[in-house]
Amino acid sequence: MPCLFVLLLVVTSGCNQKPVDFVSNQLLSFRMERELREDLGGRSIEVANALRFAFGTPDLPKWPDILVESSRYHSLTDQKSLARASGPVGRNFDLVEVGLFRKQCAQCHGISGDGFGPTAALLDPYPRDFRRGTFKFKNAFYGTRPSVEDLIQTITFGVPGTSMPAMANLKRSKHYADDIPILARYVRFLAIRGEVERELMMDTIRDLDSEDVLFDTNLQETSPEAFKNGLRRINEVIIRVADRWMLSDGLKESQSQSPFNAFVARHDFAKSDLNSDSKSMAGNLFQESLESGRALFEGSIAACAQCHGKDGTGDPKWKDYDEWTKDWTIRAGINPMARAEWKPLKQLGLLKPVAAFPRNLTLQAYRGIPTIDNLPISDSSLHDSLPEKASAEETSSREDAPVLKHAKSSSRLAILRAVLNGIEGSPMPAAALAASTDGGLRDEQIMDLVRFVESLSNSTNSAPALTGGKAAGLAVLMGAGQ
Amino acid sequence: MSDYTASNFSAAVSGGKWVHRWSWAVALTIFPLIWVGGLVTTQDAGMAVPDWPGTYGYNMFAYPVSAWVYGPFDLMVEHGHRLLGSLAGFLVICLCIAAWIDEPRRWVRWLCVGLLAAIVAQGLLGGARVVFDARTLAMIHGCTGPLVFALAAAVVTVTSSWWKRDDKVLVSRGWFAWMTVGLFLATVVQLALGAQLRHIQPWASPGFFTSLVHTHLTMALLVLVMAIVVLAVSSTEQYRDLQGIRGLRLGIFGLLVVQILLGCGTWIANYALPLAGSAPILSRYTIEIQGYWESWIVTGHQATGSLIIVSALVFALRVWRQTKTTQQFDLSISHRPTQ
Ligand code: HEC
Ligand code: HEC
Ligand code: HEM
Repeated sequence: MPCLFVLLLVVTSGCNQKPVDFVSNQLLSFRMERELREDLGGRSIEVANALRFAFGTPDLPKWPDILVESSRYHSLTDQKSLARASGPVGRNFDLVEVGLFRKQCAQCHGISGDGFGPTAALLDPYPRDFRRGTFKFKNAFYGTRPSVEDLIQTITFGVPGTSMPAMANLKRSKHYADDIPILARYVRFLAIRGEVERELMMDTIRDLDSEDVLFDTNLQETSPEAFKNGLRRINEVIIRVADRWMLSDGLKESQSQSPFNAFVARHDFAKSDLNSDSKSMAGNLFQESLESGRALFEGSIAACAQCHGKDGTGDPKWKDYDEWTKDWTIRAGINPMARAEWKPLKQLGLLKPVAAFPRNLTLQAYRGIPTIDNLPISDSSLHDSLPEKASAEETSSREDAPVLKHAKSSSRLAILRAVLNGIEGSPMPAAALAASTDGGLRDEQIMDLVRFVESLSNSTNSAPALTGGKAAGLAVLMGAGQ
Repeated sequence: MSDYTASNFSAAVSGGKWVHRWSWAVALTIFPLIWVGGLVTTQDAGMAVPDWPGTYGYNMFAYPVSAWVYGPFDLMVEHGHRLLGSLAGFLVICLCIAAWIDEPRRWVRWLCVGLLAAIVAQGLLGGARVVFDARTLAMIHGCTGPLVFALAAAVVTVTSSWWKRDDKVLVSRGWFAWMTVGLFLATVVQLALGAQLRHIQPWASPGFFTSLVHTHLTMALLVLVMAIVVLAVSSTEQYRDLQGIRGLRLGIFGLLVVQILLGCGTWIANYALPLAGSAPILSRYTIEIQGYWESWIVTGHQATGSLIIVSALVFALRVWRQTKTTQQFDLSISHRPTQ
């Protein structure tokens, strides 16, 4: 009887052994169909075939030939990482483990990196959709792609307060020590693939006449000229996308662009924290700095209070959506607040639109965990106060290494990075700086602002008192937690 | 307890002591086997050894110990699971031999053979999962594992001297006895749902997973309610004299409470805390892959689940041993003088 039941369950739900393939971005087709007012069914099949031709399948992914052929993209097109990260989970006969992405990540991020894995609907925030190329937590500046080191950092330490797990434990054993950089490179692969799909759908097909075919393997024989033309178009997009990622590779260019990197290199500010500042700053300087910070926080240039509220707890009335949600709602002419409008899109892969709330800054909990390892700083004391570095080359096999160490001291860095670089994809902007904008913030003002934000969560300081029942609830919870 | 006499003790089935002992050995091997099997799933180590029945081309039993123990953790777990499974199979063979020599009841002998068949099938299923690299087979293997465990526990129960003694005060069967069966079946359904959760395919839709989670939660509530009802009814006047269920029913209840806590822990270990924005402690929490406690909690939820199934089955068996339908009552009363 129970066995029968189990069998029934299996037959009814378990046995959908579809061939594994990357999923097409149906929401994108939907948006473009609305925009261009034409049926794009045929085009999206062409795009899907083109992508399969260029990038392979989840079981057998490959880098597009055009990238492999050029030595410029050498650091990008690492076939070994692809082979290890893709495919079904298991070990080969040579004992090499494969399928790392499906083992650790796909249940949330989806097999295509579309953030639509089975668990996605139950998580808040939703798992990242890599296909936009947009990442929140990185030393690289707003608008640029994360470096591999940025991705490694996220994967190693996770994103606190979200479902994104820390993989640091993998580094405990020499058998798994390479896994994190491999996964980071696979994330980059999925993102590039997704971006190519995006640009093909959003730009390339616009320029095509209705009789032009973007991609069809049959053309190779019937009309080699047309095939070549299509391929040229596709390769142009691939190169464009890859170049964007190459900018952050090797860090040289992105470093000089990133205000955060530049700031940390210019000042010792990151070395210290609020407590030592309060002792080391003479006279009223510390108090004045906090006051100036508060004024900036509430003022119109930084305008932090506009979103985070004057007390830093986050303005509950302030409602906006992140870029991933806006892509398929507001920008596709769908009102994210009207259930009847977005509901039909769920079949295409839309998750219920959820507002991206400004962070409650009184919690002293930051999701970004920056390091400055990648920066040209040779100050070991600074390094000591930071979470253990997660470099691509490091293959540590120290079994008892304290790999997961969320240093409190890094909260200053997290705030600093959020202010200077912004949090791309979320509504959190990068501050306007004096160096680039008239009336922007000067370095000292940035320091004041960061100190003030730190003080919001530091009860031992003359921080503005938390107000009302919220404070009581917080105190109770904090008491319960300690 | 006090009312059995020398005469009805002698009426009990004699012999079979060794059968009982071997059945204990089997059950006590299967429980850790369930843990290690759970660890295989937790670590996603099902394909850590790509071949079967061999291990990397070696005969399974000849695979070098050093390569096993000092190898990657997933390989260690998977190979260990195979070795432990073989041990369990070996013990069941011993059990069958003992049963054939020492067990007078024919149906018990065949029950032992049934257990052997079940454990062989379980092993073959595990092998097929590797050979065909099929997650669906892994899920069935995960569902039937606890059922094999339950079958072993049934053998332990029916070969015990308590079972064989004829000193029972028989009470009327009625819906309560059926409720105990219902509780057992509900835990099995709950297990099957849990196994679907654990073996979800990465391309399954969020809608499917979400409804699985909701069903698993609803079923947890149902199991809890059924357990409370069974607990309450079994302490009423009518069933007060039933033997061997007092400790067991508390055990089931305790296990359920632990299980629900472990279930919540499993959720947190896998998918993070709800309400992360409400307090510093919550918002600083990061899930860890392959964390030590995380592995214990997730695997423990699965192992405790199988323990609940087993307890529910033993409970039902013991209740049924001491109840009779009204028909049987009439028969036994009318036959008693001539017995
Ligand atoms: C339990 C679900 C879960 C698993 C498993 C998971 N992630 Fe995530 N991941 C998330 C969520 C949720 C976010 C979004 C965090 C946010 O927006 O703050 C995320 C975000 C990310 C980001 C983007 C961070 C940024 O800067 O925007 C990357 C990269 C990432 N995950 C990679 C991975 C990799 C690689 C793996 C496997 C090793 C993995 N994730 C496993 C849930 C998960
Ligand atoms: C337009 C609204 C908006 C403004 C203006 C804004 N923020 Fe934010 N801020 C957000 C949102 C939304 C988030 C959450 C980002 C995410 O999804 O992780 C955030 C997150 C943060 C974080 C958390 C970073 C982390 O790593 O977790 C800090 C610190 C922060 N903001 C500070 C500031 C400061 C200081 C200012 C003023 C210079 C400011 N914000 C201005 C919307 C805003
Ligand atoms: C009556 C109580 C419960 C029973 C008997 C039970 C049983 C089980 C079993 C046996 C499994 C594993 C199946 C397998 O791997 O073969 C499982 C998985 C799971 N259960 Fe439960 N469960 C109960 C309550 C709960 C509750 C209250 C939660 C809370 C959220 C929960 C969450 C889960 C989750 C998340 C999994 C999947 C674990 C994974 O993905 O690794 N369970 N359950």
